[in-house]
Amino acid sequence: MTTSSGGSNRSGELRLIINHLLRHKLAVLGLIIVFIIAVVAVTAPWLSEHDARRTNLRHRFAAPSGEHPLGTDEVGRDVLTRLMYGGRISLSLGIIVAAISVIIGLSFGAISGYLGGTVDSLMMKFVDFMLCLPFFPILMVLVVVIGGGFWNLVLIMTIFGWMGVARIVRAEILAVKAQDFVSAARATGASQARILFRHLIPNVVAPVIVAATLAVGGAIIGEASLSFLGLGIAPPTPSWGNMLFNARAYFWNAPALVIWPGLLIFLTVLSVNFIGDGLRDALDPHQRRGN
Amino acid sequence: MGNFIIRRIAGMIPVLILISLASFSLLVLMPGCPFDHLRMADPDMPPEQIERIRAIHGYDQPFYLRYVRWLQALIVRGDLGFSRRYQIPVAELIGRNIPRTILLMGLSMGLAIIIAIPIGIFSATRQYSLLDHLGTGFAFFGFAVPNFWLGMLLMILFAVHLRWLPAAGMRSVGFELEGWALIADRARFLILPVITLATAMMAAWMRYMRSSMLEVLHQDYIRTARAKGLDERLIIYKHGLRNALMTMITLIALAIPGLFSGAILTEAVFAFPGMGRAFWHALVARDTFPVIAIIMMLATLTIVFNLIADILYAFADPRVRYD
Repeated sequence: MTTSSGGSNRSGELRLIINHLLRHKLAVLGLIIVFIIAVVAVTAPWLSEHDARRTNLRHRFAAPSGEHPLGTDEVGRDVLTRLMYGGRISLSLGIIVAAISVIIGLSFGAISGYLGGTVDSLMMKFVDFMLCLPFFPILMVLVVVIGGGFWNLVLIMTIFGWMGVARIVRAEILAVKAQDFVSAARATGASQARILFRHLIPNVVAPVIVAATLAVGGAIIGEASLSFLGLGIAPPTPSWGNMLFNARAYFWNAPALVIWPGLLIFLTVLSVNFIGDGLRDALDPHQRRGN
Repeated sequence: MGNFIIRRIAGMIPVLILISLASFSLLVLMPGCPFDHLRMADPDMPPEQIERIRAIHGYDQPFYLRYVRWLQALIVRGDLGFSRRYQIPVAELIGRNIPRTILLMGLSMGLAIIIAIPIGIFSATRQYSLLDHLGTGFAFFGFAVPNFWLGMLLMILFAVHLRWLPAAGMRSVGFELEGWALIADRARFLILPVITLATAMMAAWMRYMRSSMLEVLHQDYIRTARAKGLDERLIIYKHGLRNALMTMITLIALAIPGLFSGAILTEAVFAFPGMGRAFWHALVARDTFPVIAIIMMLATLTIVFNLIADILYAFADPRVRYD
């Protein structure tokens, strides 16, 4: 456990964690796959000369060819190009939603656990209330009310994304708060803020990073599920979810349109989960693999 | 215990009222007038007539009055309102669709339990065996695969390519079937949706079962049983399994309301006419009352199953007392 630290100590520990992570084969595989998908998504405009949105009705459902390696879709757009641009949406949405949810969950949980007493019990009542809402149906309603679109989805998904992290952080803070070094810090006259930010929060970083990684996968699946119901990213902007929504009508004669977007969602989420699993092992000295 | 249950049920009421108020205000804020389609169908329709239709549905009144009227109708007459999209009362819509969704969810849960629990037990008792590794692999697959996509793949494979099973719907159209033929026909339509929905739970339940079994097997009383020389099978199945299953039952009870999200997507993929699909279609058509009714129903289910899980927990573990 890091309590407080000098620079050399921390960088040494970081190296140790990276070493552990790199020994986790699946995590390395996950890192490689996510890296490739991210690079292709970012450089899509340079990798493909096709327009992801422009339709060409003369080339509907074209078979794979040199010009269209994965063929074209129901209105003649290049499938590979749309997959690349769709990756931008899925990856950025996943990362942004996870990051904001974790920041909210971390602050909420830390405040709740640190203050304790009535405030804590009220704040946890609120978390319980949020958790008993049927969240996916309400997500669908919220999309209909405020509209689809990238930032609206970010907003809606973070509203329901932070409770898990808040609970983890609160439990950790409660456990750490009772330890001697916190009393020692208080005895030496450290301020509340210093105790919270310097002594308590660094101790919850490990579980929070793991939760954040897994939240990326959850958000990617969430976007895909909403877009699949026609309630997410609005066409013609491609996202893996709305490509599946479009492909749904043509699965009988163009099953490939169904296969590719789903396969990419699966690969990305799988890789992110592998990374999360590796981080869990690397960050927790007590929970080594084979234990 | 009796006191605890009464207190919990009383505590449900404010939560449900809060949820109803929240969902009611959300749906009122929904963009687009619910009567736009009338003007689209007949552009020459005089505005006064649209105003009259709005008034019939109570849309000329302020929001809080409509909420109070809705709540009053619900409490006094058990009236859930009228569905504009389906042109029937919401209670009838739910009554018609819910048995199908319960059938779909029930069969899927059954399938998931039959597969997940034995594999979970085996993975725990033979940790790091081939089957344990396969189970872990399946768990990674199950957590990462978008469930509706898996459903579409099954549909392409079994309905489009192999033509073994029907792709969508709930029954063959144009045949008058009776008895076993009817049951067999319905079953053919259920196979793919049930497999799809079951996979969504299987991965998680397999992991739960494995870890709860592992936890039990590390308890002192298991060591005592081993020390007094009991047969290993007796230890695992009598002492271990019984305790591990109790945790499992509470977890399954807690998972039931969340299953509905999976049902929405599965029913969408297979055009299965259940509650999930009705919710989706009503929502897209801006049909307020069925949406509110289904959300309220799900919230109630969640709270009730939370309570059931707590009660089961107390039964399973005599040390737990609620006072």
